[in-house]
Amino acid sequence: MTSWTDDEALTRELREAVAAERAVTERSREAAYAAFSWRTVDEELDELLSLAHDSSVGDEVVVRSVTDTEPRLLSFEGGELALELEVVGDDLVGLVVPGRACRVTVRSAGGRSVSVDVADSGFFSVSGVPTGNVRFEVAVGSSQLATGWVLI
Amino acid sequence: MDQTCSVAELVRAARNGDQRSWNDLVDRFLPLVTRLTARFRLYGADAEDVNQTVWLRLVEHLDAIREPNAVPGWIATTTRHECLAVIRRRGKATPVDPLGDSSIDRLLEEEDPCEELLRDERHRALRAGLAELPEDRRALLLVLLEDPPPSYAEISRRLGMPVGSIGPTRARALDHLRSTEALNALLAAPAGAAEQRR
Repeated sequence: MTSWTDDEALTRELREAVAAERAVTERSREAAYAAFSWRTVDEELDELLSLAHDSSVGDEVVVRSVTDTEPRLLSFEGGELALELEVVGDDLVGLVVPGRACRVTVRSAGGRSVSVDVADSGFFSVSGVPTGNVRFEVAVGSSQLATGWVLI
Repeated sequence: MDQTCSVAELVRAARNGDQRSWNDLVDRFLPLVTRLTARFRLYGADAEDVNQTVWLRLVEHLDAIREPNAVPGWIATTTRHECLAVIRRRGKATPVDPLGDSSIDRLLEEEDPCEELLRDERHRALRAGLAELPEDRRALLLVLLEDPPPSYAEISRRLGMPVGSIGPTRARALDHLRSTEALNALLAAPAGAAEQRR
């Protein structure tokens, strides 16, 4: 437990406390403040598709030895619609399930986006996918759906 | 930093759309996120990406978190989870992982999530206590925290304080720190406060 009766122990932990605050970068602070603006954007959504599977996240701690070219597989699910994605570098192929004509937008938290029209089959591909924190928006009919944020 | 509002109050106000309360939440827990990220040896762009993920996810989950006092624990868990995901993905990109599997295991074993939250709580109390001190005492303590610590002659020159009074002033400043409201509030509610935040 806390023993700050000793001057040296108190000074040591005070040094850590000050250092912890100083280690915070302004970019991190600004990004964290700005994250809140997505709250009002999200209120316009009809549904948030939740992450059902991410091949880069496992229960095991061990780092898997895989090659550069192995795609990252992501699945998102909602009530009416699911999204299956394979990401390799900044290329992406995806499938809207069940297949239907819609428009998919990949949007980064930094404000970049790329959109693609999807045919009835539900298959689509996107190149030049923004990196960093992104989410996938699906406009189908008059409905607006989006996935939660993923770091790619 | 506003330490007077409880985490639960800030969470409730943020749920109602109050950006200032959100910013206060961020200010309060950014050092925790930064500290945990650094523990996983993530810095620069990787650390900033993880940090951004954590806050974007918190915005997403703000309404779903039933117990507002659980938010600090949620932030710590999400940060840890995202750090591990980045390290796993990086395993694909770099032929030799600078942080071998075994050291990640060791890091996770060493780490006590509850202890990290308690430490963060102590750090916040110490910073708030430091802010309560009069300017001259705070300035002396901050100078003494520098690494490497400056000589007493250097401190005397910088703060315009006689060399002979540096030691006694330091002792008084530390005593004063111990009696600040921030430290008393922490010691009056030890462990229990952090316990309910998990």
